[in-house]
Amino acid sequence: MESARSAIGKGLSATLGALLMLAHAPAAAQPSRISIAINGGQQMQSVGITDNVVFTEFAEQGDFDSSYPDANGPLFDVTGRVRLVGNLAVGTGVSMASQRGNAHLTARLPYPFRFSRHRVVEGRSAALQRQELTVNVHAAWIVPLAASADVTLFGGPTFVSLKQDLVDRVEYDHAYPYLVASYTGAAHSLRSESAVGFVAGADVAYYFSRVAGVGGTVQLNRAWIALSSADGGIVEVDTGGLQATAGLRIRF
Amino acid sequence: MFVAAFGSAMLSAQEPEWVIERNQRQIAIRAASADLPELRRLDARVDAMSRAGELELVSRRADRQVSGRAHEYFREYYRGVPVYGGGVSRQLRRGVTESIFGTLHEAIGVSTIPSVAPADAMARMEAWSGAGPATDDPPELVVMSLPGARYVLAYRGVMRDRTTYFVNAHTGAVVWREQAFNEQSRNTHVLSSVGVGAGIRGQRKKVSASRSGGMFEAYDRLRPAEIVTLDLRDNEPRVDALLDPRGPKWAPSDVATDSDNNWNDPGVVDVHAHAGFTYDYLAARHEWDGVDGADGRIMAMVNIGDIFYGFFTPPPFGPEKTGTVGFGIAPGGGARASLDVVAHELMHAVTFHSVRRRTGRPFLDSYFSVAGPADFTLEDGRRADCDTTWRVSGEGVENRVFRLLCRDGKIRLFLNAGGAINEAFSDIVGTSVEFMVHEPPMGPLRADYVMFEDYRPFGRSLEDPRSVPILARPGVDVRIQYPEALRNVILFMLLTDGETAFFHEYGSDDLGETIVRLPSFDYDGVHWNSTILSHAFYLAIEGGENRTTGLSVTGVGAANREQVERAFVRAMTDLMPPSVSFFTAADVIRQSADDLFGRDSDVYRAIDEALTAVDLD
Repeated sequence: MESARSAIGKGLSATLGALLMLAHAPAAAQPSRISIAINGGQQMQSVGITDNVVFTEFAEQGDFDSSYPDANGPLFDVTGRVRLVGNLAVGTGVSMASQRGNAHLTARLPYPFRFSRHRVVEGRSAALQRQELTVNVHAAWIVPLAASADVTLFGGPTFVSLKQDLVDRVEYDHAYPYLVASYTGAAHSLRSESAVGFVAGADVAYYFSRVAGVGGTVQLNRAWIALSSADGGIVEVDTGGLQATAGLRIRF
Repeated sequence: MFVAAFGSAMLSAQEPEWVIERNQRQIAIRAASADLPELRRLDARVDAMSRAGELELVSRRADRQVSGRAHEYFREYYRGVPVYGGGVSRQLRRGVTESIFGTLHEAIGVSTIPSVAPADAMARMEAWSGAGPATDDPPELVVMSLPGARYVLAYRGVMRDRTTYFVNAHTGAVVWREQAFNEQSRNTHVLSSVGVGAGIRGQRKKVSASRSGGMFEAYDRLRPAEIVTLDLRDNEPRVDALLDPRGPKWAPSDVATDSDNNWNDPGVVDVHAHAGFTYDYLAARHEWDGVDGADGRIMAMVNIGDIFYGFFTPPPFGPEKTGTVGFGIAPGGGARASLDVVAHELMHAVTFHSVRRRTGRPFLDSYFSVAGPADFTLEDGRRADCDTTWRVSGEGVENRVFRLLCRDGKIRLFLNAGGAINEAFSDIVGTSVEFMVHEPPMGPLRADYVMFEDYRPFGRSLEDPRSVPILARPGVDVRIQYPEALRNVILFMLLTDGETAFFHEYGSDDLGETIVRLPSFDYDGVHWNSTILSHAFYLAIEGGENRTTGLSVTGVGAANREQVERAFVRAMTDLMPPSVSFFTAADVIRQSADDLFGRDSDVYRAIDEALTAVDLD
């Protein structure tokens, strides 16, 4: 986890560095003061969640591993920016990625009558919800390419709210002599946590009128959230990912 | 001086002259398809006797393990009265007779019209026992075979002192007694909840418990047969009441409990866990459901007071009047509840139920005799012979004169083969369960061929019986070993006054060549002599040379022990008649191996060699 944070930190530094370099570039045509981007797209390269839950049954510890799907999937994003001075702007964006997927579960179940004779069962959970709502505030550097097009580089903190279903218990059937068990399902419950991360990215816009246009955004959106596991432990979640969206651009 | 334990003489016409007395009135029936002419002859005889009403079909069941096989049991009748222990088991292969084993009686020659009323016979039993009848059933009229090839018409009744009595229906005398014990010498519940505890040697075990009213009970509901362990807290009157067939049934307050499911009584932990392991073994290895074959509730008792043995007692005794096992105090304290002992006692229950449900009779004591010397020297230097008189008081007789049972001027020496076979099967299963649960090599909490080693330094050895001396009762300085072949079986003299008989404390462990004072009575020596058959079990698996006979056996190897276990246990659960000799039992085991694995199999060969190596050829 530390190495991931370090890599993303380096990326953030590089993005901010690029913005500072652009701040010294000569200004082109003056863009509009306010712009709004309404995007739909895809979140990619998100990181899946793994969990190990330890439980006691039949007077002995058992455990199960949960491997949750990554959060790659559709993304909806609205971003607005206000130019402050020159090419420098500030903005805020709201994005939401939501999806449902199955967790893969491997459980080691204690044997009722003797120690150290665990039965292993595997299965997939029902579809579990994962929803990431992010609100970011960023600084942006707008680089006009022509009268009808510009590129915006941006970066800043992100406030992430995560809702995630986590498996609390693996359910199974077994019958005497209990030498084997079969997976029947998993009980889960929703966890909600929030944290601060960062966003950095670039937006390209082309305006086919004075007000409206189209554009695309590529941004890296990351935060780290700790959820409570069913056994009281911590499940660390890397939210967000590389997000590619496209949509409508409006400027005033 | 004497012990009152006796049984019927079932004598064989087919067994070696040097061991078993021939008696033309009682015929051991042993035939299998390998000897087709003999099988056909006996088959025709069974059919003829059935038509004549001398044999009556008691049960017919499909084989549990071999498809196309069925087993019938016919009980023998003499002029409409059942002959106690008489009857044959017939195995059919797709309707054709495959094997016949049993005992039939000829020339019985007794009047079957009783002179004594059943009520008078019962009164006689009550006087002897000092207790009432165990059930409301009237005494059963049977023809009994007694030592000395004597038949009597007798009433049979089970009394509350856990003894079965036989009263001569013509004279009113008590002529025989059998213990209804197999002793090992010394719904408010809603949730199953497995707890944990340490056994007598400190090993942690799971305790399959139930939650009830904020407590945890030693009440296993996870297995198809419920297993209930009662903690009688050394309340001996309560123990007696629960064992009494007319006493109360068990109450929730009798069940062993623990407040936090972290069990503190090692005896309770061992009895309960080991009973569960035994259930698992019987189910997995032998497809046998519980102890009664029908997953009836299994009752076990611990902390039963000043009792120094484990035991099985059949119905109608026990806390549910369906039989029970109990575990007394081990040497050095704690419960006598090592895994092999718990499995041993529960196998007694399996033997009882399996034979009874097939034949209508439990597996019976069966007595055989061999000719001994004309006289011998007592420890005090006096000579004793067939004319020596012994005054006996106690055990229901008052100052009566007894003599040694003799024939043709020779003292007869007796063996309770049925009891020894019963004990052997229990040791075999006790050992086998150990191998299922523990790992070899030998030692406490290890899998080995030694009984009770978890709570005392040595016990019966199936591997090397003669390496273990038989413990003598206090004051008796006798050193003899457990037998490893029939030729060193331990035999007892019998005292009789013509009506009643007692075992004498003198006997022989060399077929009558030498007369010795025996270490104790050991319930007719059944535990001592069990090692003949259980040693054969060991040899069939591990192989080796029997030092007494010098015969070698190539065992199937430990990896194939399951095959030998299946052949032996199936012999008892599915084939064994209620009254057999060592030889008939050996042939039934061979037949079982043949049924399961074929006559050309290694396991059949190993079992055949092993039985031959202990003189059971």
